[in-house]
Amino acid sequence: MSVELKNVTKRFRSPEGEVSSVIAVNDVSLVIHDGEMVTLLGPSGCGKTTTLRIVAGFEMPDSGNVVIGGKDVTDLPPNKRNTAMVFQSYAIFPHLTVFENVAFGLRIRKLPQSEIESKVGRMLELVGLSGMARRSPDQLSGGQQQRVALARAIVNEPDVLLFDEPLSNLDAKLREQMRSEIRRIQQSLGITSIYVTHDQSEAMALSDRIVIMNSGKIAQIGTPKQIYDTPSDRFVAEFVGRANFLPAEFEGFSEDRALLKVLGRRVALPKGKLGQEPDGALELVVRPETVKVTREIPEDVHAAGYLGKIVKAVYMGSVAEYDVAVGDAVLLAVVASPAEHGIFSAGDEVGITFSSDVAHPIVTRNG
Amino acid sequence: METTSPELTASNPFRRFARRVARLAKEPVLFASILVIFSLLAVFIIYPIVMVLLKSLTSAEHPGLEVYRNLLSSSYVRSSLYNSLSMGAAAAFLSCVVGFLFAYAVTRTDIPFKGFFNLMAIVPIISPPFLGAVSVLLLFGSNGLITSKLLGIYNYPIYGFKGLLFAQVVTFFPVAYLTLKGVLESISPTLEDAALDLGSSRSQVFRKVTLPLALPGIASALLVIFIESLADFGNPLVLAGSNFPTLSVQAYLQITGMYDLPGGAALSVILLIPSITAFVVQKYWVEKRKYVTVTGKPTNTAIKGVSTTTKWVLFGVCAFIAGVVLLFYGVIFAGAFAKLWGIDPSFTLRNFDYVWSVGREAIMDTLIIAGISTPISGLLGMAIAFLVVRKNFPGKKAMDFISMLSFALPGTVVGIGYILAFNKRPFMLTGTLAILVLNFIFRYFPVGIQAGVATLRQVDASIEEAASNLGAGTEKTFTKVTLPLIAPAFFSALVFAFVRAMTAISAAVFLVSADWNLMTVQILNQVNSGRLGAAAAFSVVLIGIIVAAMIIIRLVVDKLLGIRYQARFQGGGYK
Repeated sequence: MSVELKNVTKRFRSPEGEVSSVIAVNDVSLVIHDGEMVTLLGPSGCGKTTTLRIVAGFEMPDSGNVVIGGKDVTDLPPNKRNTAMVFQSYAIFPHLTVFENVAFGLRIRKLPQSEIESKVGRMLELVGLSGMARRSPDQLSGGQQQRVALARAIVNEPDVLLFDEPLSNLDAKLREQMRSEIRRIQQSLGITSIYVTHDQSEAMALSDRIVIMNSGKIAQIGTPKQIYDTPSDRFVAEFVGRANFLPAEFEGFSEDRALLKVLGRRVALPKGKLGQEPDGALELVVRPETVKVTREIPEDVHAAGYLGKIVKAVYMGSVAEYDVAVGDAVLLAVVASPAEHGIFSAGDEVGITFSSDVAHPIVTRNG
Repeated sequence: METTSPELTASNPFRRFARRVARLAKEPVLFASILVIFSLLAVFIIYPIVMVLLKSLTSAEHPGLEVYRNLLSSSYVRSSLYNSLSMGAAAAFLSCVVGFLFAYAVTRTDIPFKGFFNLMAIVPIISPPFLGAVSVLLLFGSNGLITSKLLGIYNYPIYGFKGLLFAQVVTFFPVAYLTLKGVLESISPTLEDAALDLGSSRSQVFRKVTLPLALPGIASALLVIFIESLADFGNPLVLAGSNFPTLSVQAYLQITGMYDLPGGAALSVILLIPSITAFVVQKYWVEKRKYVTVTGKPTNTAIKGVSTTTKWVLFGVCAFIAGVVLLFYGVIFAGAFAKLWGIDPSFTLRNFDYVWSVGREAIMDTLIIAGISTPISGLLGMAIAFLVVRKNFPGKKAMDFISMLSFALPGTVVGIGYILAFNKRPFMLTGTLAILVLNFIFRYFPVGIQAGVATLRQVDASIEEAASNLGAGTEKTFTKVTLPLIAPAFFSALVFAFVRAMTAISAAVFLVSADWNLMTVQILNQVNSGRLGAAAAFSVVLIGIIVAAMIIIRLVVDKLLGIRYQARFQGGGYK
């Protein structure tokens, strides 16, 4: 079922008193399509969890509407909405067995015992916990508790599945495993899902689309590829992945190219990347892994080549990271399998190139 | 995050309020419970106090505020006020000193017999109201064990300030002990280790770290005992004598002895003012200053806070106080089984025969009243704790304040309020079982609320959100999830409500009737007519019932709520 947020705003009283308030969610509008998995990604305090809790009904927006499957649920309490949440702290009922935890929602709906047994049994199988039904939650590991929480949420066949940073309490290995399992189960059941996280690799791996939030507002919505390759502003580019920001000057258009002056040399971008003359400060986002470091000094000016000097070199095994001084600027370059491509050290003079096809221009309007 | 100007936030407060109410109306059970609780608080807490205030202004001789001017011009009333306040201050100070020494010894040293000291510091909580006073008389009175038998002093002037202070400190220091033990346990010993590590001496650690961190807890205990001492009725009635009048006793005598209801009401209003002041300071000023250093991780550190000398000095003090507590209870038991205290100590069951013949009905009545009021008071306390901590509704702060307020109201005020408020339609309750039951419910549920609030704050809110998210309404969430999780608080609320219902006197003395009488009132009658042996026997029966009830309540709560998971989940909270 689809979920729609229309101009949702939520304020909280600021901790220091009642004089002023903090806007946690600021005029957010968003449509999530049926069966889609959308991630809300942002730094802590950006309003992503509050947005999720508004969808669940734990928080009431000050203004705006929440529509689930075409029905306005803004004023409905959580228990009257068919949403199911997987909590960051798992929120397993400590006084109930695994079976009773999963059966909780079914018992509230007064389903017959036989149906409850078959549904819970199937669900425990789906999450790989068959045979643990009689256990008490404190006999489970963190990952197992998380599976109980997931089973408990989806056994009720919710319209929308909500995830509130569900993997943040697990260790790194388990996190990756649970991440692909959540994606597998979500896709096999086709449940519309909203997933909150501050971990960008989790968001990239899980999502059909990512919503980047900052200070209560949506900064960008797009597929993981759109977000990474064509960030809408400096915040998004910095938050997702790492980026070099090179100040650029607009020089004009040629036939199918936009011509920029970057670090003293001309860079010709495909015209699709910069359709019109920029109306603010122009910067070029160059991802560090697209920067190539070579021993040979490039001669062809139109290939956007630079002369650089290694300032700092960090060898990390699978990659090497270099800070390279180009004129007054310092570029970060990340080179994969350095053992194969040659290792540089501080002080080396090198050639620097990056493809204008993968560089992305951003415009910061004045004021 | 952006910060907005006050104008923006305040925009349309009415619409906001209306929307909150509209949302509440979508949960009819929650909405109805809130309305019912507010009406109950209004009728059984606010209305009686208002009646006391109004009645105090209706004196025939001194109408209006004249009654207060008249009372305060009387030197006897002025000295009552002074006595009550100075006794409150002295009892609070000494009880806190004793309570702190006990708590510090139990939590911060490795003295032997800790379990025993802990028990001795809790036992006085289940005292019948006159126990302290009767014990003081049996020990120091005209035929007292210590005065006349040991020291050969006859007619030692134990009545008055000294005797009362002694009885009150023994009765009230457990309150300070329990508060300060909790506070000291929550101060992570790693902080003290850190201070030692940074080069402080042990006494510096105590003065610069432990004591400042415990200070808000100490202030809180001081104020609570001040309130309890002001409200104390049983001990001053027996021990104060005519040369040491106190307000709570004077208000009672004004009504029962001089049939002056407006005068008694006015005296009780004078008593109300310092009580409520102390309560407001405690609730809104001291409580906010409490430090929380609970990390959830159990920190095990070797106990090394005190030197060997300090340790044994503390041991000595604790042993002495524990001895006094034992002595207080010992003489009650001895007195109950003695033929004639101080004169003929031979063993007899005569006192119990007497108790059975005159007090049988009062014992039954007391059990019925306590049996009805205890579960209601406990459940109401948990329900209010749940609403206050977890729900958001207009008037939440008012609900919290009014329900906690009833703790600060001296029993004398409440008793007078109830006879004034419920002697005519629509609330015609005088002389009935209902008036006693209602009185006990609304006087003793604040402790349940406090325990419930404290436990609920330890329980991760998302556990209840999960229940609501899975379709459980407020009432299902409360009964299926919240109540089992806060079972320990529920247990202590039940025990407290029962103990208080069994030992109540100050308000109840105004409300008993020929049909419904209480054991405590019977004890009062025995003390008044000088039959200390019978009073002691009554007290022994009362203590026996309380101990038996505590065991039964524990079994029932365990059975009903199935709290076998509790033990494992405690400690680190429910995170």
